[in-house]
Amino acid sequence: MALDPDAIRRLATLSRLALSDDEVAGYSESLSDILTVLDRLKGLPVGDAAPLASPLALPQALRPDEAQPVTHREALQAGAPATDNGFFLVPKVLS
Amino acid sequence: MSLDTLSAMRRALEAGETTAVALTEQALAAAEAKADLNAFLHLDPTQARAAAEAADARRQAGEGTALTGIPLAVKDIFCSEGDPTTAASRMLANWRAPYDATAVARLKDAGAVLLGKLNLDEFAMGASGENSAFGPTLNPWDRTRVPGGSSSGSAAAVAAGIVPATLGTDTGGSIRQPAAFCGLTGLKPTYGRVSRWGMIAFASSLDQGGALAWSAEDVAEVFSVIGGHDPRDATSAPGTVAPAGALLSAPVAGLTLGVPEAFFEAVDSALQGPLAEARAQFEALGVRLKAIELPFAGDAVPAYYVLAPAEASTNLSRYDGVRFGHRCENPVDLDDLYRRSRGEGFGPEVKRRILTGTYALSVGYYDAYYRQAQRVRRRILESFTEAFQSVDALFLPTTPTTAFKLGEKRNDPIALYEEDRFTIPANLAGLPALSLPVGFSNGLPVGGQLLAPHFEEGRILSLAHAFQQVTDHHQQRPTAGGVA
Repeated sequence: MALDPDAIRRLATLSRLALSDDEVAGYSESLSDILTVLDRLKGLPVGDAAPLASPLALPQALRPDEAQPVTHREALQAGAPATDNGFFLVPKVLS
Repeated sequence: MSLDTLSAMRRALEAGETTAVALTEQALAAAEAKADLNAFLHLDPTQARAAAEAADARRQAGEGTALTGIPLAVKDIFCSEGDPTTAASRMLANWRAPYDATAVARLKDAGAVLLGKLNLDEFAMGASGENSAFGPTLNPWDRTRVPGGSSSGSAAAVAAGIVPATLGTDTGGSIRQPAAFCGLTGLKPTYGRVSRWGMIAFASSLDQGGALAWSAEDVAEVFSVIGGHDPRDATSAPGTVAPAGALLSAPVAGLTLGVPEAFFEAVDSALQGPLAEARAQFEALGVRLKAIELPFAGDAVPAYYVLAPAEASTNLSRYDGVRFGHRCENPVDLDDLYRRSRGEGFGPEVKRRILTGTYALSVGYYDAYYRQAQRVRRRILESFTEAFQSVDALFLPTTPTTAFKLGEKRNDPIALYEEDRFTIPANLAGLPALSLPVGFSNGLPVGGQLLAPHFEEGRILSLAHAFQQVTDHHQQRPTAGGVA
């Protein structure tokens, strides 16, 4: 199945990716090629196989419900583009 | 001759014939002299020298471990406190990790000297090392060729003799394929064996950290330190990992090795000779070979290239230009901030995988692609489970070809995706898998792969170790100019 440029733009919107027109054209071509590979999945005789999300059937590991030291807010926010007094700054959302 | 293996360095340290400081200076000098390989993204001589002095003091106090004073380096996808941690992406070009990954913390606790951070394909997405935002890494065996990927710097730094072992990560072959291309031994442990805490996520149900070194012996030393349960990773497997000596000493005579003939028929003719000799070598060690079939394993590539991008598109949504990483200039609103920060920060292959994953997860396509890929994944796991009813381990090629030329597959994503066809099945099934050097073709290393049931790393490490006691492929080194 081919993905035309409009389909790529829709995916880019869903993915929150700004793409140039050249990128849209390039991905239209390469994703269409990739889909021909992925389409090999269709028709494989998997029968009633249950979907497998993770390879190990391990019980959920639980740990004691005790407070643990955590990385400090200042250290985590040191890598943020814009902060103020412990908050992350973003453009105005409400007008 | 300078010491270039972990075990030789360890013996020299224990005998008092060298010091951690001397080994570290040797490694730093080699890194400088071989900067053209672009194996390192970040080198920290000050930190390394301080760690080396501490390691020498620790050894003198009689408190050293196998790794104390050994210079090592890690793929720049592992967080290391205070250091640049980029995942080879412009998105994280200026980001410093606020904490250590568990694997890094365990190396530091063992007294290893960490030299710096190694180049990779951006966010571990690639099979050539060419997808780094900071330039490709070159293969020390032939600088016109790729070292493989995504753990490109991890392989090149060992093959070039800079450090004796490195950490890499393997989501679809990213430890084993570069190990094969660079003449090294590389172990992808069982899914969940090495903590993913502090390992930047690509595809969380597939990602697994591991080690690259010249020999199985050296890989086992590193694995025994970084492996084992970590309560901070909810997918971490329970239990500890045995000491290296125990991982290497399982008897191999009498084991049955399954050989899926379909995989051997699919490799380039140049690899056939070394792979056939390796099979004969295993037989000479008393291992019985048994031809087997692995239904659905040949369908791993399309299943993987649905599942991995789907997980990546979800994991990489955290790069939003708000909490960390790149932010665009003058965003007009929040949506503009998200879209342009991500569009500017991510490289071409990362965007391609986000788009592919978004497609596979979108309404109307979810069942046909994502759900179907998960069903194929189940069948692949079952086919391995069935195979391990009659064989103890599997032997197959690691790669379809030897290292290819830089640029040769740059604009052909499908050709690159097919590179992973022999390595992906182990990731989908979560199995431990190891690549080891089995010979050379036209001066380039050829890798063979061993797979075992879940948690049986010791079985494949022992097989590789026994193989390396009677072969010398892992002792070959690239010459200064390139091909040996």
